[in-house]
Amino acid sequence: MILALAMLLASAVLAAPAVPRLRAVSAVFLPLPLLAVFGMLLARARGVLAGEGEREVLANIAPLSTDLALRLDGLGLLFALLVSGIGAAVLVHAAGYFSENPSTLGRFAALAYLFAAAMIGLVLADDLFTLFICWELTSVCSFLLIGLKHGETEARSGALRALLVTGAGGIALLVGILLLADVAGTTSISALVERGDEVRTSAAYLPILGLIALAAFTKSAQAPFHYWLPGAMAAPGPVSAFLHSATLVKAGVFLLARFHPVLGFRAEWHVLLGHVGAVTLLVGAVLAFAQDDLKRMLAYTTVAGLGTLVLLLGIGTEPALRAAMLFVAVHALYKASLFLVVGYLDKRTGTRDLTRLAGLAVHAPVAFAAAALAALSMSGLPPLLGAIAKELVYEAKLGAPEAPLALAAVGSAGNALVVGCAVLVGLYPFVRRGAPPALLSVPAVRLLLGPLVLAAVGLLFGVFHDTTAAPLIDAALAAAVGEPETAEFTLDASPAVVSWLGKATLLAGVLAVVFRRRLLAAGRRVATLASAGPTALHDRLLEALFGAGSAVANVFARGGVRQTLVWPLVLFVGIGAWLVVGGVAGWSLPDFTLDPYRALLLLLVVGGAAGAVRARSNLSAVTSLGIAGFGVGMVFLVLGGPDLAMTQIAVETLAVLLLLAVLGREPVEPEPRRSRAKLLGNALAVAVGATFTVLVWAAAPDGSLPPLATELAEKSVPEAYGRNVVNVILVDFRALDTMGEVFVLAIAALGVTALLRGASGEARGEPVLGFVGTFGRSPILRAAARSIVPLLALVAIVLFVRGHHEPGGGFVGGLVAAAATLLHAFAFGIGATRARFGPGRLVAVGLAVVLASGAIGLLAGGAFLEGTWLSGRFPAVGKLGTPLLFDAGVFLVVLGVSARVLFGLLEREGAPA
Amino acid sequence: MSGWLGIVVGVLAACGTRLLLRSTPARRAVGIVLFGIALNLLVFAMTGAEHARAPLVAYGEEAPRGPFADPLPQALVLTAIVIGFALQAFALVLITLTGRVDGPVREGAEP
Repeated sequence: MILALAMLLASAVLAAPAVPRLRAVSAVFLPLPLLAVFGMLLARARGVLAGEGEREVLANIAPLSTDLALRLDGLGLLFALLVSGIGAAVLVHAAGYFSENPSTLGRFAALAYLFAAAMIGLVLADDLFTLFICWELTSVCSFLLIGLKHGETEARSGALRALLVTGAGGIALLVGILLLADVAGTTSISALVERGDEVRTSAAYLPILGLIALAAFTKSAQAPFHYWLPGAMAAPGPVSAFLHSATLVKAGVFLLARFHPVLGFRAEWHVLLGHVGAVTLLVGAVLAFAQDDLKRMLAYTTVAGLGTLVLLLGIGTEPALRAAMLFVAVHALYKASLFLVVGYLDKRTGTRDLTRLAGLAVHAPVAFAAAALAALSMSGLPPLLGAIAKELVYEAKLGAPEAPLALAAVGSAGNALVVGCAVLVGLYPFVRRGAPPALLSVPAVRLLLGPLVLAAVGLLFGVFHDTTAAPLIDAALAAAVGEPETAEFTLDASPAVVSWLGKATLLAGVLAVVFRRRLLAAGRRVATLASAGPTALHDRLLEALFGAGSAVANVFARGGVRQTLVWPLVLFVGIGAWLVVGGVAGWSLPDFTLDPYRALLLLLVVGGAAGAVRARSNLSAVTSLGIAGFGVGMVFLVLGGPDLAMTQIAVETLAVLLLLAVLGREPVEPEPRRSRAKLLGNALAVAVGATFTVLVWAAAPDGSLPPLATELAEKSVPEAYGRNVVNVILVDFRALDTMGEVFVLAIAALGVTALLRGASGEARGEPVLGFVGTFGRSPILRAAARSIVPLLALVAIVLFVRGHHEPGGGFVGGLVAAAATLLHAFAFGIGATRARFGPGRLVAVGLAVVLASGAIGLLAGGAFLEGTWLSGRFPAVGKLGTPLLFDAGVFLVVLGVSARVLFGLLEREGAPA
Repeated sequence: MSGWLGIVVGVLAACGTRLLLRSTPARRAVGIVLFGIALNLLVFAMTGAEHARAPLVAYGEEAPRGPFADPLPQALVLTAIVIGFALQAFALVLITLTGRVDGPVREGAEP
């Protein structure tokens, strides 16, 4: 099944570029990956039904002592078949639905494949982490798919609401499974099922149940979280049919069924799930019946259906679980089919309004056939599969150990309204007398093939249920029940009562449709409150959260840079003061000896810094800064940090040139004398400086090296074949840290790009011609640059190559290379440099090289980023291995990022031309 | 030497802070750079500025000889310098986009 997931992910990658080229034939190609998965599942079904679930390990995560694993059992098989089968039908429909907009179809197909992969991964997961990752991935796919028409406010807010609700559930799930793993001592789901007793008797049972139930309730739209589902109806038809009727919303039900063997069989389980399910069933049914928009009506019947499922799981007896498993399949088939028919009607007539649709039986006979079959299954009429499900559901309710009559009453009331909705969606628009709305031409075959097939499956499975549905449901049941002793349950209700109840609800449903207007008039206020109330509450809560955030921000960050900086700086000084007061006793006075050469160096640094503060013009401020920066570089050098010195000097060069180019040499207005702001600034500056000094004095080492330093230095040559210990730490021992930092660099470049792109639309202000702009006309600079630029490039490469053994490496090499491009740009103009050197893809290539060098270690059987070396020695570099490749990636990223920001700023300034 | 180095770090940080609190974006940009230098030097000075020898292994030997500077803070500071540069560039872009490089920016109720 790993292969199946890989194929779906590959399809997701290929779909967006491929679909616009496929055009008309996309309806043939799009369902193929899902049909292939469906076929693979069927091929293994026989083994699964015989009880042979095979386990496949994706990867072993040693630190968590867990495998990421998949296992195909009956429960997983049932859900995976539904996901792949319905997905295939929906994709054919989508090819028609988006026929005028191939790029949207491509995006939809890509996300649909990704969602299918996540959903199948979820239902087949055999460990808690795979389960959780896939669970979150389905939420993200749902968010993206609801917002597919992201130009519309309603789609965006619906997507966000769904994400917030299901995302909160995801966090609950994470905490829940961590507690569960802790109590049971395993993360494997198949092992967990064996240890249900340990979990049920532990003190953590209630929190675990609460958290996992919360996750399931949010995902499966149980009251009071049901409001996100109707909001999700802003999505295009195929999205609603695939995710929000048949598959995604069943994930919560799946989760409860999966953990039933572990968490069930306790009174709390029955009480919690039973009540929530019953309330959801009623709320959903009432609200569904009150809708005029067919799609929203279906969405609320889905809420009711999900309520029924949770209620059945809450009853927890074997007949109840059997009914739940069958109802999962029945509901998915008829609901997806009805959603697709409504999508067709929407395209054909331009409306989904119940009051405007009429007389369509003649004009859309195929749609009528599909809708009628699905609606009859929904109403539970024989010989459709829905009839069997309905009987099982009533049997389960009447046979419940507690309150069977109340359950049956709630069930019948809800069911009557659902029957009414079935009539309103599946029959009413077709048979009602009246002129049909203006009909538009649509690709009918593509739109209707899916719903027709799904509805027909409902019929065939109903007629031949012994050989088709029954074995599948039994296999799923076996997984959901877990412990066989629950099979002792005996049936109290006679089938006669059940069939009588079924007929009564049918009649009540039809009567409800006939008297719909009067019923609605009576219940209008309740319905409005129940449908709009939770959404309004959600928005209110969110507003309150933002309000609280701004209240805090108004105290600590009142808009200006100064006001925002003051608090962190004061806090920093406070920590310094606390250190001084608390630690004075233990200190010895630091070493104050100094030779004249170093004294001169330190004086240079202090002079530069003071000059930057005192300077009247930008030019002198930046120049003074340069003096301080170069001085610090020299300090690094004399204190044993040649790598630091080179990096500092290279960065300082780039920074000073950049500041000069951007800030120019215009003088600044003197600040008002003796203002309060100035006094405060001075006081704070002195305090911060004193804190820095105190920190250095407090921490000044006694001259002995920490053990780690000695260890790293001693391992450097034998284990990493490098003589420059600093570089070895960067590219080998702590390569993961460096990788993170390289990604930070890339993100900074991305931020710069985004800022500049966002600004390019507006008119540029008058360009601030930089001081260095005047160099652009200098023939001397041009002549010099012709020979210096290639030389600098060479120096950069030499620095990089020698870096593993002597001072140098990817960071400083990349900076020097960037300096070469900057010099070229100053001498010949940014346009000329652009023509010869484009930093565009350099960052991405560098990141890919970094990741690839890490992956090689993984593939060689070690850990990610573990150094892997070629045998033998090579001239100039010595040993060759992945750390050098890693350093090459660092070189490319640093060059790319630096060039990107330098060019961006220079182009922005329009200087030098 | 670390006594004097501490004072230098303090001066750099004080000057950087003072510039950060100035009213013109241009000076703040200079302040960001100066403050960054002070922070890098702080980490370097806190963890070992006693040994003038670089942590390099001579050819023909297996480990560096004699007292040498701690390589780990150097590795930390090295990446911090480069990341600081990217941050400075980002800040500069923000400053140029506001389009008020030279004039003082009036904030809140300040004079």
